[in-house]
Amino acid sequence: MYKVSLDHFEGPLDLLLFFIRRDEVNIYDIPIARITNEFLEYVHYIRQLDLEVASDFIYMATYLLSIKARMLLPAEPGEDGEIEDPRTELMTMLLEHSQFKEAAADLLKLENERSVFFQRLQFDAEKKMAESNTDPGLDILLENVTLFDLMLVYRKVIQNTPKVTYHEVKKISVTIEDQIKVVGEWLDRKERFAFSELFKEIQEKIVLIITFLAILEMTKLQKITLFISENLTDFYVVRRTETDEDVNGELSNYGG
Amino acid sequence: MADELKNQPIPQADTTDDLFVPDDTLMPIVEALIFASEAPVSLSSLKLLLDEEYAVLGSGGVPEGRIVEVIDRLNRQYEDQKRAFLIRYIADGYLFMTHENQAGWVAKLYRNKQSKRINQTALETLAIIAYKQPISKPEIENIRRASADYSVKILLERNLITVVGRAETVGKPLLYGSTREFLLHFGLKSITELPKLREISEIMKDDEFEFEQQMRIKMEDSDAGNPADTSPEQNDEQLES
Repeated sequence: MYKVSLDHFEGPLDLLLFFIRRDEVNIYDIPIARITNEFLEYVHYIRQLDLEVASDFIYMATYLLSIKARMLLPAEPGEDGEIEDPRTELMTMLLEHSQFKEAAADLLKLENERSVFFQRLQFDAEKKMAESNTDPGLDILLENVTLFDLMLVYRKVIQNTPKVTYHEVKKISVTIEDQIKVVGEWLDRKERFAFSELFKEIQEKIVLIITFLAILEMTKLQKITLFISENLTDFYVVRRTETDEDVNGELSNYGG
Repeated sequence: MADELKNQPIPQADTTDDLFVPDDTLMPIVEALIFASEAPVSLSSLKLLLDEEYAVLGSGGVPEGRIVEVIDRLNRQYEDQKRAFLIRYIADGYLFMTHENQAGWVAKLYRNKQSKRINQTALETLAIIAYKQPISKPEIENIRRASADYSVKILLERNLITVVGRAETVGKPLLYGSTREFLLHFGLKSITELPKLREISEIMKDDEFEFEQQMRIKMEDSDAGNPADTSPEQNDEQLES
């Protein structure tokens, strides 16, 4: 197998056309088995080069294999009694592809013919307008506007719009006194609780802060005792009874 | 011009060509309008501008045919005087362009400003879009049997195609069509001026695919050390089992 440069083939159909031309194969009677094998060899080769391009070729390879498989199966006549050649679709595809390759060649010719005429250099009106920041007037702006332009502009505008952030000020009526009661209620239910548990119960930050202040206040009033966990990530609140002053040394009494 | 009819609302409207603006008046106006315009000026907008001054109530204004005549006269003048420019009809309008005899010189001037050529893949995609518009990307890919993502992106960036709507098919893909820039780029008068696609039946009759041959020649040129065109040894056209 010879090597072919990838650049020459714009897609799997191009490669197929190349095989067909090179072997002077009749397009009405494509030797599927041989072409498929060659195609697969090529796919194997380009798979190592460029996976994204290769995927188009692999897809075509599977299609060729399916044709090959169908050709091996006994054909059943269709409703009109005709036996359909599994290669018909491929042939149409190749011909349509050739049709547009020709059209592309035509365009290239037109482009060449056109290249000898020059218009005055584009005035770059849009850029200038943007620079001078003057209002060009709606007439000019709205000339030749397509839906796509509008879409692009819309997206740009949306992207450039500074996000408006609303700061909602909600009045939360909570006082240290209230929270002292709440902490008291918790301690009625539970012997002790961790400060981290508060996070689960209390949503608003401000309430959390007030609660913390309440705990500090209660400590000061020597109603509770605080234990700090060893790794300093949490602390526990325990009700202080008259009798258990300075229970042990590990106790950190903020109330002092 | 003596008009005896009492019911005539406009006194001078007694001929079909009620208001005749002489060529000598029209020529410099039309010339100036086209000259000052950045993009091709359509016949209808020329007429619209002229009629602002010359259309009288009930009259048809300056007929488009007159404008075409005037432009022809201008072009003949330029030719007679061997001017380096002429008015060309391109992309549905009139535009001043330099004469092809000066192409080499102007190309030097524009050396760094000329847009890059469109690559082959994008060109094929563009051909499909131009002939089949409006067309969606899945449809393009179905014809090319290859991804069209990159080509479509390039063509959109070059403003040769644009989104013209959405298909009613599954997923409502965007539909693409060609732009005025496309006409300008390829020097087409209008989209109907596209060269006719060769019928598939014609291509089938033609057993030489011309472009394929061209491609082979190209390959032989570039892969000189690696001749691609060696005919295969086996020649079995039959399907192997």
